[in-house]
Amino acid sequence: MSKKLIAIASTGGHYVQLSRIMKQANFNSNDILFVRTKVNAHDTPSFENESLIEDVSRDTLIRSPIIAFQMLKLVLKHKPKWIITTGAMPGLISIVIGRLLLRKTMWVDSIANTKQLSASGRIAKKFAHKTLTQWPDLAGDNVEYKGRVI
Amino acid sequence: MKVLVTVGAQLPFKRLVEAINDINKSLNLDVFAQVGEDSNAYDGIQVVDFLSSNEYKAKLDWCDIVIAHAGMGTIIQCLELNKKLIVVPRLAKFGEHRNDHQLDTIARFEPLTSSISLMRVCRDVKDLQQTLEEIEKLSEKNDFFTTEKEKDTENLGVYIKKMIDDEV
Repeated sequence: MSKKLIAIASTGGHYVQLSRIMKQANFNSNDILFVRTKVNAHDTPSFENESLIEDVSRDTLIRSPIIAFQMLKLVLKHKPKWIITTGAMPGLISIVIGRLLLRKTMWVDSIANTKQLSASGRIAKKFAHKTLTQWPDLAGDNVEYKGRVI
Repeated sequence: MKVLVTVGAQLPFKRLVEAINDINKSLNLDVFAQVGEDSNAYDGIQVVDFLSSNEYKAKLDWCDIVIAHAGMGTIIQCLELNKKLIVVPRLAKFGEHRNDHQLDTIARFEPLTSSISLMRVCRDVKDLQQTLEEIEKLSEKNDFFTTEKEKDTENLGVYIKKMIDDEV
C-alpha cells in the first residue's frame, strides 16, 4: 500500500526532532514510513513502520551511492507523495532521489543550526520544494520559518 | 544515584567521558556511558559504544541524571521526560565537532535555565562535579526550563500536516 510520506533522518538528534514533529503533525501512523540510519551492523527497526538504511556523513561520502540506491528502492516500493527530512547527509540524498522520482520534498533544518542553515540545508534548499528553518531570523531566500520543534 | 552519559550517535567525546571517569573515582556513582567509537579504557564507569534505540530508551528511564554533549536530540528527549540533564558543549578547537554549533545551541537554551531548572549547562568540565552536586539536590518535579520559552505562535507539526494533506 502506498504511503502519504516518507520521513527520513540520520539516527540521533535529527531523528529525534523528526519523530517529535511527526507526532505533533498527528498523521495516521500507517501513512508514514520512518527511515533512519543504522548505528551499527546489528541495529534493527524498533517499530513496524520503520526502515533502516546505511549511514553516510561528509567524511564517508563514498558511501552515498549505497544510500541513494536504498532510498530509491524504498521510494519505488512505498510511492510516497512527500519525502520529508531534518537532515543530515542521508536526508540530502533523499531529497535528490525524491526529486528524480517526481516526489514532493521538504527539508526542515535542524534546530541546532541557530546562526546559519546547515551545510546540507544550504544545498537542499536548491532542490527541495519546501525548505523550513526553525529560527525566524534565518528565514528568507526560499527558506521559511513555520515554528520549531520545542 | 544512577547516571547515564551519552555523546550521541556520531562522534566520540573523550574530554567529557574522561572527566566523568575521574570524578567517579571518588563519587562512586552508578554510571553507564555511551561513548561512541572511543578507544580509551575507562576504569571508573561502565561503557558501551552504541545503544539501540530501545536500549537507549530503557537507560533513559533507568537513570536519575543524564550528562551529555549539547545535542538537540538529548535535550528534546530529556525535556519530554522531565529528566535532570547536564550538557557540555563539544568544541571545534579540540576536534570534537566540525564547528561550534553546540555553543550556538547553548546560547539559545542556557537563558531558559537557572540554578533550579532540571537542565543545566556546564561549559567547562572542571565545573562538572559541582554542577552534578547541585543538580542532584533538585526535586524531580522542578521545571526543565525555568524561564518561559520564546513565544512560538506557529506550530511546525500542524503546518506540515496541512501542507502535506492539502497536496494529497
